[in-house]
Amino acid sequence: MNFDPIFLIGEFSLVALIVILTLVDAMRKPVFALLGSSAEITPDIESRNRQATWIAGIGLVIVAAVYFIFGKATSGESVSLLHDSLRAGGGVYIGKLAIIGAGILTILLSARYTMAQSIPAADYYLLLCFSLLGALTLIAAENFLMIFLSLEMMSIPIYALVGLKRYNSRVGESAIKYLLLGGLSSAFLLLGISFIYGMTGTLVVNDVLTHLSQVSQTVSSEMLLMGLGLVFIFVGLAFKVSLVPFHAWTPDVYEGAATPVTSFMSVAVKLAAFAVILKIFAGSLLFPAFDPLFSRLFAFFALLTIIYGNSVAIVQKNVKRMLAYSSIAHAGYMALALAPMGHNIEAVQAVLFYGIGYIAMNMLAFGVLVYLTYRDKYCETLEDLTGIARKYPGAAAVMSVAMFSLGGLPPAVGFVGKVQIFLQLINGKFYATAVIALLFSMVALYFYINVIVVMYMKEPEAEVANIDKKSMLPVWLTLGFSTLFILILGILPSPLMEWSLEWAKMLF
Amino acid sequence: MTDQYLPVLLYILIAAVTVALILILNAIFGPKAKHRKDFPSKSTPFECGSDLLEENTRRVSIRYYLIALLFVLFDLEGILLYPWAVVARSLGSIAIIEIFIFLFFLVVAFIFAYKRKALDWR
Repeated sequence: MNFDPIFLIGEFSLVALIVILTLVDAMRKPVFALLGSSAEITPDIESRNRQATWIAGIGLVIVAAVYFIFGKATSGESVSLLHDSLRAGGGVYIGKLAIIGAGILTILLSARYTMAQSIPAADYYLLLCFSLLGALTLIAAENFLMIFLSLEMMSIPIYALVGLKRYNSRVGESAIKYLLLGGLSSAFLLLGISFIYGMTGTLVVNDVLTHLSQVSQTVSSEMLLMGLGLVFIFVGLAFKVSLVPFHAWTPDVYEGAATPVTSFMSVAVKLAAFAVILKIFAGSLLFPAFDPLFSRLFAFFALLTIIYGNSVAIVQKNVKRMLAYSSIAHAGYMALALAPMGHNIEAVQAVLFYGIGYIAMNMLAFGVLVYLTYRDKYCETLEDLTGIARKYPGAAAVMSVAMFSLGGLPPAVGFVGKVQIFLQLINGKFYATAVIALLFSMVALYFYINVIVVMYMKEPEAEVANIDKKSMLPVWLTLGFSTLFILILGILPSPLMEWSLEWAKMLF
Repeated sequence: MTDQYLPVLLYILIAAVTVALILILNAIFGPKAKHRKDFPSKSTPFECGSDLLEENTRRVSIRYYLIALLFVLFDLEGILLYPWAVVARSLGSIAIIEIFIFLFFLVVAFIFAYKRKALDWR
């Protein structure tokens, strides 16, 4: 057994952070006792939250630095670890850095939010770190069981995170909805995995793909069962990335969850789940028995998702709900590039490019909402945003950047991402699909631009609420980093293209 | 390939036929009631057992879930320690290190639960 711990240095340091966070918090009097009638918040919650925030924030930055420095040595070639259950090194390095980066941005957003909303911060960051650990192993997983375990490790803390503001009934509703539908999707995934295991006798993804390439093109029970297994696995993963018709949980959960949690869910979970979809299906599309079926399936689901997400987002008055539907639509754009991906690595690269760019865009959009939220004042509806440009010009400006990028206008990174995806569609001769998707991204522009119009050109009906500008630095760090990321990589996209290409090589 | 599943099909058939047979025979030979109220015992869950003690939909204290969670913690420990103890000698020192890493994480979880007063039965 040749096991070099350097390849898992990111995971190891994250586990160490989790242990430290657990022990430090356990040594103090609990914010919420697990038992008894202590539903009230202990008075020192502010200092508790501050302590947990510092440990989690600094800790995660150290994890990222350690992985960035020591993991760099592994980025050359990739190795299989633990009996082909994890693939580490190579392009996965890029993916893990992107996921950890999303985690750091989330913690920066959470710092003030947990304080303002009296969320027990230690529990919050612990769950976030667990979810992050799951996402890290998920994008490296090489084995169907490992994929399932990582997916659960990523999702289960999120169910708890969504329900953490437990004294609010809307939060409870969204948490239980997410839990039940997430459980259902896991059941689908497991069913698919068991079909595949039954037909091939192996759980290692690459071996399964080798088996798939030998399936003959004529209709047989073998092809039927394998195809059914793949479809079930796709359904299970489509729940996580919220493709229509598996999207029903998205708007309610996004609206009910704390805004930083929503932003983490919409970027890190989605990117990791897409990485798995690519890992399983990028290869299987090459196989004669499945190529036409899955190409059409992906194109169909993606188009449905884009049409539904963009049309329903138009009528939303709540910005968080609007961003939820827009995130459904964006999952559709990423899924669009799955249709032609059997034939070229560029399509896989386009999906990953879009996924990494989407981290910055969504973090920025949700970050502005976090910026404008304080104690009893939620910033969620369009009225809350009306006319804020005069009072908060900075927030309005970066929100406009986010909206331009989400809408796919130059010079933002969203534009480059969309261009790449549509180029791949045209190269793959999916002309009709490309035209419909393009039309609906025009439709999408309406509600993105509407936010900017509301912010800049409308007079606020009531006085724009004052927000406490205390301890705003972490939020500004997120906003600033995301804005720079979007603008710089929108104008000079080649570094991000190289990174995503490197990652794509690992998945193809 | 599908031949292997013939016994399963047979099993399903036998099960279905047995159930159908019992129901049909019951309908033919059993006592017939015009209304259900003629036989009040017919509508109890156990037709020929003792009366119900309580409803089965009563609420369970949230504490049981905590106990169940803690049980998982110790159960996992026990399950993995038994096979480890059997092979520990032949695996050598690496086995000792690995099991202590494993136990360390369980202890962390236990400290967390203990400090959160999960064992505090008030």
